[in-house]
Amino acid sequence: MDAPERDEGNLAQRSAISPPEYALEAWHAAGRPARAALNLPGDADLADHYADLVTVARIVIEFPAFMDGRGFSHARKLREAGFRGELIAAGDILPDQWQFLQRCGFSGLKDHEIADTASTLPKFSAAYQADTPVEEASFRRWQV
Amino acid sequence: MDAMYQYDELDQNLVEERVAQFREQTERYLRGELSDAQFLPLRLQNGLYVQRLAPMLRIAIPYGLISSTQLRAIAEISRRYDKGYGHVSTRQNIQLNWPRLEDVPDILADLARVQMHAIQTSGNCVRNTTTDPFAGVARDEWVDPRPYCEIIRQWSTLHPEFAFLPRKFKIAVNGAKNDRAAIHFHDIGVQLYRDGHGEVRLRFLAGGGLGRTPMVGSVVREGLAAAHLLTYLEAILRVYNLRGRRDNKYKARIKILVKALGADAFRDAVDAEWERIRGGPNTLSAAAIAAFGRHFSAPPYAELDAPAEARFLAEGGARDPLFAAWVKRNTQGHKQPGYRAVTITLKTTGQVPGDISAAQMDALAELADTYAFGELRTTHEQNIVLADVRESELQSLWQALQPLGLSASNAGRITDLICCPGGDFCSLANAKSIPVAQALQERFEALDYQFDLGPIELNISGCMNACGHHHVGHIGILGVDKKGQEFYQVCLGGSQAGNARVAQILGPSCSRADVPDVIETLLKRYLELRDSEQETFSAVFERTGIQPFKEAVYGRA
Repeated sequence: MDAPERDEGNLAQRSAISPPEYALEAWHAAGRPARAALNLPGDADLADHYADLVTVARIVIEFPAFMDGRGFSHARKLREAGFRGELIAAGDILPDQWQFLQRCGFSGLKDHEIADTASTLPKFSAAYQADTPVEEASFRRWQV
Repeated sequence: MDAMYQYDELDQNLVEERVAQFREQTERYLRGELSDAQFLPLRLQNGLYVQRLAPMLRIAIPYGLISSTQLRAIAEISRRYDKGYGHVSTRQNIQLNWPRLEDVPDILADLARVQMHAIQTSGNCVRNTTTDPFAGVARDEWVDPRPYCEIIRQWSTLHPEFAFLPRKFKIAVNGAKNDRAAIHFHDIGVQLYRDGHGEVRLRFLAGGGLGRTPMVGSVVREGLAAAHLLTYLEAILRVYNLRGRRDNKYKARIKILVKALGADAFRDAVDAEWERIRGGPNTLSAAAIAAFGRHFSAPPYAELDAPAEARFLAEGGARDPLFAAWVKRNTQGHKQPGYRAVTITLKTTGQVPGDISAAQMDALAELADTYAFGELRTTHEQNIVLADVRESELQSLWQALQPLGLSASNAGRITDLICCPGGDFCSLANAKSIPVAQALQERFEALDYQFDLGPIELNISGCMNACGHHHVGHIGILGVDKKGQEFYQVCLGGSQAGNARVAQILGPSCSRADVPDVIETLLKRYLELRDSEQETFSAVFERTGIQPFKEAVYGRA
């Protein structure tokens, strides 16, 4: 199976000079600087505040448990709100979840070991749903 | 133009890649590189449970539609990898009770060869979408639900955002006047109908369900255009994924969230989410909906002399009253003149309800090819439907069913009961359910007034997870554990259709041996209470309430 083009590039990517890390409250207190890495717990209740966060350079979502899928929706809502920075998945994650994480808008994994394993796993070459990197649903192939 | 959905290259690649993925995951698990806890959701999302005695593999039958070729493939799989039989579940899937874990990747590969899979038949994700087994042929149908079910199947399959929900998630779609998909008792129920201009509209219900906390779903949206089906589903799922409880698995279903927020606040949250994504890339164009529709065109019906077909059928019935009884109970009217839809019940006395042997599968596949355009449906009541049979061929079909033990003329009657696998197979069960079903079938088979009772739905669950849907049976039976002893609680007056209702508990539970007596007492009371043969058990219950039944079983208080 061919590796999908949108894959792997940013996996576990880390800048040489990382922006300073903040928890959500501290970031607000510091005047919401753009050069920041925001740490968000996966079980955070962000209500309607996704759009407030789109200016930061990096957001790290910490999954409390790999069965807790809230981080997937956080990622999509951040991307839909216009977040264009790095979006990193951290915490309890299975390498098998990487492709879905990526399709929800994550650009990398914090843990190198998980990232390495993820890069060796078989991938799906297509998807039915429109998602964050591919904003087109598969059923459009029939719209001729 | 197909009579059922045919995979194209994209569909085929996805199921094959899924097999490759699961094969690799199974190998990692067997090498000890994945823990039990890590492998658990991965295997569940491929339909693989580890049960009391052996693994159980649940094969998806999308909205209950299966071709003769696919049924033969399952027969062959059940012979090669299992004990030569399968089990039709209440959500229209087919389960194998004895596969070896090591064989499951090969089984999935065999399924992929006939455009089948076990994707998301279990786990905390969106499960198989279910619908009316008479879709496309029922006379009371407003909109054929099958294209919409296939749209939902594709959208929900490998959805990246909703694979790790708080709990399992079940969607049912109904497109007819009468609800035959139990849409009030699903996480989401979708009713399809037409507006004054003939345009398809959607009514969404959310928060219905059975289990420990049975609840009737609330209407969250009325009159939505079909184009928005997927974006609206996405909005509901997203609200649930972010806000559903994850601290207690018994309070994690969407019904608990809907109840906690209240239907209005839940609706507001969904609408707010939907406003952000409406019109997005998962919006369905008219062309896309039409393309899905072309996958479910009518089969090549013969141009029939309908009165002649009816005359032929009536003459056959006049010659053979047993055949006439089967036609009356097990077949129903059809959109196409000269055709009928046939229910083949998997409820012959002595047979585990819903079980079907490999030989029966092969034979039914053959009969489907001969009489029904090679297509079959599985039903919520754990039966098989042949949707398109010529009236003049019903008698030869009925005769062919007899040696297979599949000619019971009990569709919709008391012995056509729904039953979960119970304590014989399931590690969750508090009590056995299959022996109760068999004892009831033996008792009522012998009753001379069995067929005088009219339509009665009797549902049995072996524990409060309610896989046998006891809450919505006209008569429900629930297995309970009392200090290590199996007891059974009876409830009455449930309804899964139009006037959706959760059954009421009759009174103290009884022993397994007493169940047939209790049920017979209830039935005799019904016969005394009804004002005519036309007044059904359910109608009598609505009129009289539970009290006269209570007194019949427990005496006057």
